[in-house]
Amino acid sequence: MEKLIIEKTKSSPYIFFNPEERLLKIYGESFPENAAKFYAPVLDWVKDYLEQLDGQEVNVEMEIIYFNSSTSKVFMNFFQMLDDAAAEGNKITINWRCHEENEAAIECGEEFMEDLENVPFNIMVFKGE
Amino acid sequence: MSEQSKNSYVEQINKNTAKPDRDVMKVILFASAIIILSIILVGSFVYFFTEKEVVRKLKSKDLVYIAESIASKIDGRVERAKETSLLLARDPEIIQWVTGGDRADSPAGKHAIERITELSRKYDYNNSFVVSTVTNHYWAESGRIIDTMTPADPDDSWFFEVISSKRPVSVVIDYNAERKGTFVFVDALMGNIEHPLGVAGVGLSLDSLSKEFQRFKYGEDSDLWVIDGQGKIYLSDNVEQNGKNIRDFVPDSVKNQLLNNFNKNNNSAFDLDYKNSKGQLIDLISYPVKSAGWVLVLQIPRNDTVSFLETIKLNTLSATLIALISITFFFYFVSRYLANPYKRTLQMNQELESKVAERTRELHEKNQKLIDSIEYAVRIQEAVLPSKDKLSGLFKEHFILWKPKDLVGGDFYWVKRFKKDCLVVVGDCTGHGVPGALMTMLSISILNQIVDGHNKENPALLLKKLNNIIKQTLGQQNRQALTDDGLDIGICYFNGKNTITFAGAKCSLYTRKNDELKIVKGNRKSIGYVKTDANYAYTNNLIDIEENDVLYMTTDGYIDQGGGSNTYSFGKKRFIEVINGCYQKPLALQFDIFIDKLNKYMGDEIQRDDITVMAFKFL
Repeated sequence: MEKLIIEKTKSSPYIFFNPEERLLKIYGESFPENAAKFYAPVLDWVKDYLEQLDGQEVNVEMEIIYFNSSTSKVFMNFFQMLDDAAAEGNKITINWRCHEENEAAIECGEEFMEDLENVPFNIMVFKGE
Repeated sequence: MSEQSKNSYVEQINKNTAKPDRDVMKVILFASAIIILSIILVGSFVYFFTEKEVVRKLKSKDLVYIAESIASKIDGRVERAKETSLLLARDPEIIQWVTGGDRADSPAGKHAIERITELSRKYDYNNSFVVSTVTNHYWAESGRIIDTMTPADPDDSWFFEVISSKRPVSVVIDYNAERKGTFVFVDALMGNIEHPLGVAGVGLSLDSLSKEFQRFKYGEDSDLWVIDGQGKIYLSDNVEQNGKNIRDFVPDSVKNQLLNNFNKNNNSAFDLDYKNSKGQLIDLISYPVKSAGWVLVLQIPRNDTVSFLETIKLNTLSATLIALISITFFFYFVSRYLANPYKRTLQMNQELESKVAERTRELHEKNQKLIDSIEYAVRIQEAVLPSKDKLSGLFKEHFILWKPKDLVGGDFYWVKRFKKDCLVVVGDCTGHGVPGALMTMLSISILNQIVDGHNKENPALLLKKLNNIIKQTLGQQNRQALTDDGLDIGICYFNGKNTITFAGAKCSLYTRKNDELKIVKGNRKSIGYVKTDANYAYTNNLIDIEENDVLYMTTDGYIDQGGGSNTYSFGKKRFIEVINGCYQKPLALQFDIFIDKLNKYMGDEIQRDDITVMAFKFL
């Protein structure tokens, strides 16, 4: 599969999905005018990617400073897809990175975690820069 | 864009394009100036060096050559006279005849007289003579004795000088003023030099040379002289000048230089130039005539010799002019052909610019239309939101901070009064801007529709109904729905005495009592959205309130607003701090504090979402 790379903008995050490393990274802020539209190709890619997985390990790394409620719905869908894939036996791990001062991000992470059943969701709080 | 500002915009474009044109002209002018300068310099150098070379050649070759040829002619003539004189003086029969007393009737006498007379008769000599020291007779070319030498006669002094000179041959020059001619007498001693037997020789006039001089005349104003060490002119191309001194014709300084050189070293050519009284530059050259101990002087105005330089000057000038004109034309065409595409580019650019201006104007118009339309929508949205009077009548005290991200937004608040009891609602529909505003209209209209006297005390039920109707309206009953929209909402029911019933869909109620702050969390399921079950049961929370308890409801806009050094969200913690910091203050004042804290935190960050904070006291 091809890599998926989308550069960050003021209102959308940096997306770096690399099948070779089995690493999906989303970094930055996310409040696009139309989150569903922005993430549609991303979710399509993820869908295709998860379908061809065969029990491999996949790391999902996310460090989102802020996201709006419509992004939150998209993320929920994204995590649900990962959760389903994990239920099928793929070793997927989600690392939700957030700065200790960014309590909103921590809280959101906690809320996401509650809804997921199969995929390990780690909230990784870091300090400093 | 107004017509006027459009025109000024186009003018500005014209100004911008005119400027590079001037720059091109500057470059062309500069290049032309340099080329003209170089051509003029080249022309001047060519002329200067040509002239220098010509004058050098004139002085070192041409004039010297002329002087040399004339001198050698004179030399030749005098040498020939010397030889003739010597032949005459060494003729044995004449010697014998003179030794014998030069008697005319002797056989030797006949031969001698024949020899003397034939020289002037057959050859180009004016005089031929034999003078004897034995008899002192002067035998002339006529074959007769014309004089007898006596030391007392000054006219005869030359004879005794020659006799005592001990030189085999002497050349004596005699200028005859009456005949206006110079005569050269070549005297050869006869017999023993110590005791000469007599003097034999020839005399010749230089008049014939004078004619030849005219042949050598270089130009109209040239002079050709043969002078001696004193500057006396023996021979001139102009007969009038014969016998005069060159100081009559040249400045003294020139004469002195000439004669000094002559007296010092008369073996080679000598040249100088000077300006005469008319201001003409004169080249002068002298060349020794060795046989006679004279010097030949040739002087000629520079203008005459190098008059062809004028032609060269003219030709150089016209060549320069032709070059200049050709280059001017060349440049004119080159600049036209070069400048043309450049001009065309500028024109195209201008056209594009005006097209862009036109498009910008169109866009501006369209944008204005949109803004007009949305501004009208603002009025509708504001009309739907409760009025200030309505709120003031409801609460003991309150503030409402409603700040959409755009002109209209997805945040809304809604109240409904029954008797003493009432409902207070704060909601946050998905998105912001126009889609958010549409959702608020839908939500408010549904609330108006579902709330009645029976269910008013049960906000959880109201949420359940709202959820159900929204999902129906937006067709979100199944997962394949076209939209996935909804809202977060909190509903408070105040029973008119001292109890609040609160139910929230992803929305919390903050109650600040005198001693503590309580956060009453709503359920975590939003209204609407595909993921929320159509029959999801929300929960009611009962809260007792006392006098001066302040209730705060907020959408996520305030708490999520980015700012600070890392653009992190404002956060719930800070929000609580703000409440704790000011809850005792009048709510009107708290409004300012809430705005101030937010503005300070967000700084230059853009507003991320619609913001609504509502604070109120019932008691």
